[in-house]
Amino acid sequence: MILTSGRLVEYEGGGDETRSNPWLAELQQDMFVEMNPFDANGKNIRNGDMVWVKTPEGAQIKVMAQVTERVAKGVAFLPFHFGGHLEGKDLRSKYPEGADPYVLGESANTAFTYGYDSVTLMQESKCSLCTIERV
Amino acid sequence: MARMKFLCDAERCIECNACVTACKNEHEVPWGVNRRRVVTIQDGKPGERSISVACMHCSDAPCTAVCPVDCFYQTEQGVVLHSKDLCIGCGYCFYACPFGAPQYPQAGNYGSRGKMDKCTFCAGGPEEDMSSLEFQKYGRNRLAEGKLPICAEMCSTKALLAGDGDQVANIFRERIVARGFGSGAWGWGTAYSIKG
Repeated sequence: MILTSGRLVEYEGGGDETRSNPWLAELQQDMFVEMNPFDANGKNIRNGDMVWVKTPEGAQIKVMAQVTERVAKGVAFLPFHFGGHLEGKDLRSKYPEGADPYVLGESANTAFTYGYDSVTLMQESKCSLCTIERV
Repeated sequence: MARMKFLCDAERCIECNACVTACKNEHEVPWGVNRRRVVTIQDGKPGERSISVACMHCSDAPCTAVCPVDCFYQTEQGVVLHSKDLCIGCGYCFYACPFGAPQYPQAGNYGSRGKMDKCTFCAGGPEEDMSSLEFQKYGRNRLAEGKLPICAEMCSTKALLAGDGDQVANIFRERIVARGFGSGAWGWGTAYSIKG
């Protein structure tokens, strides 16, 4: 499937500051992947199930499935404001005491490609590949 | 005397949740208690609409009718408020409310939910206006300060309107004339149809 990423209205950038704000963190508590009902049905995935998003480079992230027609068939969308989980492992204990945000989740960067723009050195964050499997 | 009403224009709401965030910040509402929330229907499909919902301060409020300890009262401006000193946390108002407005600090059965909390139209409670006790129990009293509710003041698309019912209706009427009816003033029939 085509993997793309983007923003949520509640969070900003990498999300460490906004996920540390209780008013905002309460509104988005889970890192998720948006997928079309057509793709979800084919893999026996229901809205709210935990899934593995696996990439050609061998990385995988464990996120919640959001089944929605907002994305087209064959496309998966990740928001990129989360961090603090790595390949299914919660790293909250590694934060300095009192510095951990209210909400942690898999980082979209873990799943994205090594590709980047040679002129601006900006990483490719909009187009990559993945497969999705039920946990 | 003004009759305070809320109106959410579903043709304008963009589900940015600024009303929810502003409300929580203004009144220091704890995690898990939502005086206001944004509900989205047809999420991700053509025809998607969002509405911001809180206590509508009904003319003939069902919560007031069912409360066994009569903790509700309506101010001269039509705002439905309640006393947390009288509230026993029975949850009847939550079942009666057509908008799901009453909130409780704890999950639990009859009597173990804690004192009910809901939108006050930024008008505090029975305590002395703008006292620290009032803030602690009900949040800020913006009406006593001569201001309107923060949720509507903050609304970037002016989808959420709050204030005197006649003025709010006039603003909405102008919009309808300009663009046609659309989704309508959701909830107004339920909240205000019975009287004034």
